[in-house]
Amino acid sequence: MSESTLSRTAGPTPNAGLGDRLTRLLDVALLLLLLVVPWVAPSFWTYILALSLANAIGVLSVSVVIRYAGEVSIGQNFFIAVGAYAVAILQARLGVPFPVGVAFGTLLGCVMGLAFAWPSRKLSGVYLSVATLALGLCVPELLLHWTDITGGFEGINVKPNLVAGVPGGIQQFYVALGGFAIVVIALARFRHSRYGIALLTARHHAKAAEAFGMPLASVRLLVFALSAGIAGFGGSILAFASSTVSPNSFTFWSSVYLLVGSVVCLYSTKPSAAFFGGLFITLLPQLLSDYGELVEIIYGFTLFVVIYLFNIVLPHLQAAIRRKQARNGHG
Amino acid sequence: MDMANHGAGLVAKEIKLAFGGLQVLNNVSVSFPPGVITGLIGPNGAGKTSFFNCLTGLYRPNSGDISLDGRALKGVSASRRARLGISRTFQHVALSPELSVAENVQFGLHASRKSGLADALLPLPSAWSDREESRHKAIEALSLVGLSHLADVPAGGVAPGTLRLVELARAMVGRPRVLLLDEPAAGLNSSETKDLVQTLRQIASRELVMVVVEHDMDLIMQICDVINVLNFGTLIAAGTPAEVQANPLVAEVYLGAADD
Repeated sequence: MSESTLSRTAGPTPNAGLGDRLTRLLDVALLLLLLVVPWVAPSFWTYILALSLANAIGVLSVSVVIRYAGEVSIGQNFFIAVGAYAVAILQARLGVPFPVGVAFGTLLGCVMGLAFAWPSRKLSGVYLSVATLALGLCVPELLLHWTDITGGFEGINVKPNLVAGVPGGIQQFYVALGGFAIVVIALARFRHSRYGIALLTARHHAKAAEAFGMPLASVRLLVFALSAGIAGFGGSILAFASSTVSPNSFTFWSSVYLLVGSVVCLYSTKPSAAFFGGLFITLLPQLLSDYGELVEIIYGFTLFVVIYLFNIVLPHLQAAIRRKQARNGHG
Repeated sequence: MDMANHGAGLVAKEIKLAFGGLQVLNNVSVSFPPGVITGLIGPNGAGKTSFFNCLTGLYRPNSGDISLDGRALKGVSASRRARLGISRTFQHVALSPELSVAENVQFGLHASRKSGLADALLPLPSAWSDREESRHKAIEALSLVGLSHLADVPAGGVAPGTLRLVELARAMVGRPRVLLLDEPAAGLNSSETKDLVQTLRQIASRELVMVVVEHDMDLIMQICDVINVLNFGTLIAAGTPAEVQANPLVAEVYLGAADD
């Protein structure tokens, strides 16, 4: 078929890829900047940024479900708790080193994700969200039920003892940064992989995906295994970065906050955006600690503004610009 | 045509399909041999797309048998049929606007690609070679439809007519045994349709079972060796383009109606 016929109907957008290059530059600059944080910033900020990075991994686990399945999970606290308690219990009760705990926590998160996804593989929309809600609500009760293992209300302390002789705060920061880097690199690879392509096709045309070898049940299983694995990994990192695990850290509300983080970074799996999401939900409660419920109000307001701005205002503006360009073109 | 060497192709026997009280397909029996371009025509609502969906496994017929080269496909899922080499395009373009044109075409290779989840997440050498190979095949398929220059453009920014050709490239990229094309010329202008005819002739081979559903009668008459006519879910005629054109029943229910 001749190229000439089709070159009249479509062509590459001018400057296509410029935005991508700028984002990549921003990502690299951010990672370089974060690398020097423990040497230039007070320990309080090093701690806050370590928590932000760990939370950013949780945000990414939510964004994966939204971006690749078009669904919303509000039960991520379950998978995060699985990873966090895996590290804490293995270290405190059995003396297992942190890297082994992380691997186990990630794997357990994946397995739990599959265990959840299998019975709910045919659910979608609000029904799936309600199923994840049920998962999220049961976490504190489960943790308080097995007090002997989980430490009950007080939880378990996690020692930052990965490298002997290095201050705990520095270990916590670099473990969080390393964990975050691993997840964003893996997700960047995943996006262009055979499965990333399949999921993004299934999200828009489930029947087409099925006709080419990717049935909806496989989509659900893959997305939840991936998301829960990332959440389990993030939970393991969070346990190390915060030095402690307790039921209060893994309530249903922590899933809601992760969803807030995912929305404010527009469900992006790009490093700078995900970091912003993690920073937003970590820093805001710290800055507004004296104002109590104001944090929730700001979260709610931010959600509304972002949703309204990106789903109503911007599409209207874009349509208006296109109409104007079309008029000018005809004129 | 040498069916002994190339198998029996796709055979549908006495397919019945109903949605509630609505009988969509009624005892439809058609053979689609390899090396033959078969047209499937009929007025809107005749059941053509539903029949395609039965062949690809997206719909399960209430009764009847479908086989590929003698292998019964009853109970074989759409995904498994894709692995057996049944490929298709859709009446309404079914591509992901988030993916680039080349990535959309690469999805046509999903069932045959071997890379696993570890390859998807980790920088393994096997993953690089698999990605390079699938991209190379996608660019080749895009070249066949004249779109290799759009490989890296997001599909969301491509004109609807052009997307039909991207779908065709996706359906062809895995070198399928069966190629089912659902209105491939819809949305194309006359020049593009002419090019499409050339492309379809180019990809037709002795091994390929090609079935085309199309409302563009010129295209159907030009490229098809055999034409089957459906009306209200019933096969009312089958034969060469000349035979079908001469069939008074077809003229009455379809071609005649088109002339009104």
